Amino acid sequence: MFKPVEMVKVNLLTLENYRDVLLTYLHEKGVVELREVSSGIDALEREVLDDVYRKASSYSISISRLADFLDRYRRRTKGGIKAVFFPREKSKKSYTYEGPQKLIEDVERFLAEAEPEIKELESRMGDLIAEIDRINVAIETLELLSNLDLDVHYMRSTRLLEITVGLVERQKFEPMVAELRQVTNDAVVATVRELEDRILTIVVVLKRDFDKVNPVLAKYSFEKIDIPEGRGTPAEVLEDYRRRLREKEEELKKAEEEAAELADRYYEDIVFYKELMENERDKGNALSMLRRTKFTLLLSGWVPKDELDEVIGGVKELTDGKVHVEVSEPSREEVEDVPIKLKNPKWLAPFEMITEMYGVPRYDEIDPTPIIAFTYSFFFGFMLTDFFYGLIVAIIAALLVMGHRKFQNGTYRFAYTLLWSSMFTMGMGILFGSYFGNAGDIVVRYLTGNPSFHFPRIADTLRDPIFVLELALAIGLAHLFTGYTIGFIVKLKNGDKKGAILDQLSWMLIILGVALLAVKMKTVGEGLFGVGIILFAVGEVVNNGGLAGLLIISDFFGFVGSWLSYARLMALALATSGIAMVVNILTQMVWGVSIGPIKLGILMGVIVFVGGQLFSTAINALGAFVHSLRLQYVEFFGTFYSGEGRQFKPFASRREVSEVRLNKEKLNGVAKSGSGSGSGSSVSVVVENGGA
Amino acid sequence: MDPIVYVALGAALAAGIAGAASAFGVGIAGAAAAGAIAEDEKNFKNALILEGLPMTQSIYGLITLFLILLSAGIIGSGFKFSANTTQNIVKSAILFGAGLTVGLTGLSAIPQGIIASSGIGAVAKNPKTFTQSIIFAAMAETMAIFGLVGALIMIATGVGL
Repeated sequence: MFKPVEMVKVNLLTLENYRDVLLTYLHEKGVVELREVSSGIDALEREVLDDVYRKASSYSISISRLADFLDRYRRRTKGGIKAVFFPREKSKKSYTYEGPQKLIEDVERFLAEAEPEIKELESRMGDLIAEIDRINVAIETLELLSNLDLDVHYMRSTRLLEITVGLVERQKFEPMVAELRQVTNDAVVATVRELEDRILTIVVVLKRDFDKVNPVLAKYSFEKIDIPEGRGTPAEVLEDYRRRLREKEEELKKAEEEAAELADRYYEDIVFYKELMENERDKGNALSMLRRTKFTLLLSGWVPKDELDEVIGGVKELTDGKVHVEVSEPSREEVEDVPIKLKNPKWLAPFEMITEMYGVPRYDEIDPTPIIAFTYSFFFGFMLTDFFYGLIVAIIAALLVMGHRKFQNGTYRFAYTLLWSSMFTMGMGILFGSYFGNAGDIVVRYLTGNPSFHFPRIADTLRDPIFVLELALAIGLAHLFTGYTIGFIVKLKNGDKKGAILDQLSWMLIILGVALLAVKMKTVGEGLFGVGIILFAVGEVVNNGGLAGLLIISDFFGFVGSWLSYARLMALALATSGIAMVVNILTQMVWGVSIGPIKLGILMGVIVFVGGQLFSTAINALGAFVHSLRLQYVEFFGTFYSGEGRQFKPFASRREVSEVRLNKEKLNGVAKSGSGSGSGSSVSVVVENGGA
Repeated sequence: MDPIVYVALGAALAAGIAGAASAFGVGIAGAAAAGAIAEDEKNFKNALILEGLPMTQSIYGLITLFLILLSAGIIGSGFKFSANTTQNIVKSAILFGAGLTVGLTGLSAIPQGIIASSGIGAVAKNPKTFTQSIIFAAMAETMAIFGLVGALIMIATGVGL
């Protein structure tokens, strides 16, 4: 809690022969974030990307194309609402890993079987789709010509005559015909049919005149039409084309059916091999981080301290102890390079999502997750403030938490934070006596006949908004004070005494002063406030020199703005009870409606009430989420937090549909015979068994 | 002017201007949302949430409308300021001012819609920018919130609820 996981830098020196084994082990383990080896020794060379990894990268592309194609046509089971809350786990296929060479061979064997079949179908379907497109174009043309009672084959050029069919705009028609007559010495025939704003024109000229005619047609933007194949009048040909279209579409449907069958057969395997290949490709990409000599290999990276012993033990076992390990704590200069993995107890861990969305802390900063877990949920609750709204959110969140717990994914984490928030919402709802707004009061009044009944509450949000506003501002002050205090502690711990006193302590004193003034402790309050202001002004002068005069004013009002920003707690709380009240009033208005003896109003009232309150829950929960998050990110983090750390991104395999068992004997066999690496010779050099 | 005119205008301007501005804001964001789902239907959820953000101003307007009507007694016991006395005119003019404040600050829904629409574009390209986009859009709402707070203080201290 509060501190990220401790990291150490590890340098490994081992034999080049163990490269693939070592990479595979670390990749599956997924606890090392690799760094480029920096040694300053000239003799070290970069690792080269050898053929195996190059193949892996190209296969991962070709397999993912196949996967995309089959994914479009595969049969899906429709899960409906149940699948949203309780999605099924993907089944994992197991693979025994005996080295990259063997894996590539397996993939090639699989591709040799599946690829031609899928590719053949894909190209057949591509042809069909192109054919259908062509037919559609022809049909469109024929529909245009359909009121011509003329065999289409007369519309094609002959040995002596050049026949051109096309469209021309109405106002250009007359001049175009005139000019055509002129250039051809009247040796031209033009037949017409008028369409809406254009004129369908058939131009017939002698072949030898065509060179003169063509520029004229272009000049009047004559839009040529390609006459489709066939014989008979356009209407007859059209019939023929429509029949062909139906046939081709039938064929396409059959092909899609075939694709679905192929997907049944291959899709699972394809995504399985795709994942294996992508993992292999990632290992290939990592090679550029490593350095080598002819026989040795250097690898460097960050490891969480508590995983260190296991990793080193594993590496030693894999390499038969032929490895030298160097471990070092992060130095001052490396603070910005240390990857950050947040560490919180299980019941807080989902809130890390909120911190991570903003940016993880630097290695020497505090992890604010435990604090914002409470403040975020509390603010959410304050802004939604209704027992039943909280209950609705709680039910949805609890279902999502149950259904997604096994994945530990984003949905789970979000739903978990929502569950906490809904607890606060229900609590605040009881505190402010809000049950669907004032619906609770109305119902109890009706049932008991006591017209002045209301649930116990500390204040009515709508009747006494000033109290709620004061409460919100007090909470805001406390929140900001917490932020400045954390900043003070962190800066003090990192040895930045000046920053701690001038930038943080000054504000703490100002806030204390304001708080004391608010509770009428005038002298002490004024004193603290004054000291705070002086420290703050000194700080501005020290930090900014000449500009201090301006910045004192703007920063002070920046602080006031941040503080007043907490008024949104009240505004959104008010919005919730306001909308709830509107819905209740509408419900009461329609409740009494009846047509004769039929009490239609009750039905309408129920619809208005349920629909309205659900809408109100959704829109207000959205507002509460957004603004609670904003108060954390903008106001709270603004007081102390940089969020400039780099998140821990370990060199790790992705295993969604596959799981891998490492066949260590085979792997080591490969390493020992030396065929896994570029050097090609068998090595019997023993490196001393080094330890940390 | 009679007090009723002030009260009615205040309520109308609060809900009317803020509501119209929200409609513009949602419209701007909605156009971007339609583009985003054309690219990829998976953007629907994120785009919908961002599109909904400029809606809040209309809610503030509506609440102010209700508070004004409540304060003037139009909802509940009956109109309190029907007599044309100076005091009644002052009170109803304060209600008018409160309504106008919320209406005008409600115009922030339009820039919020512009921010949200850019946010939708950003999310369509990179879903990880979702939260950041939301925060950017939420910034524009601060002014509307200040307006609502100001109006509340006017209503609660100047007239009483």
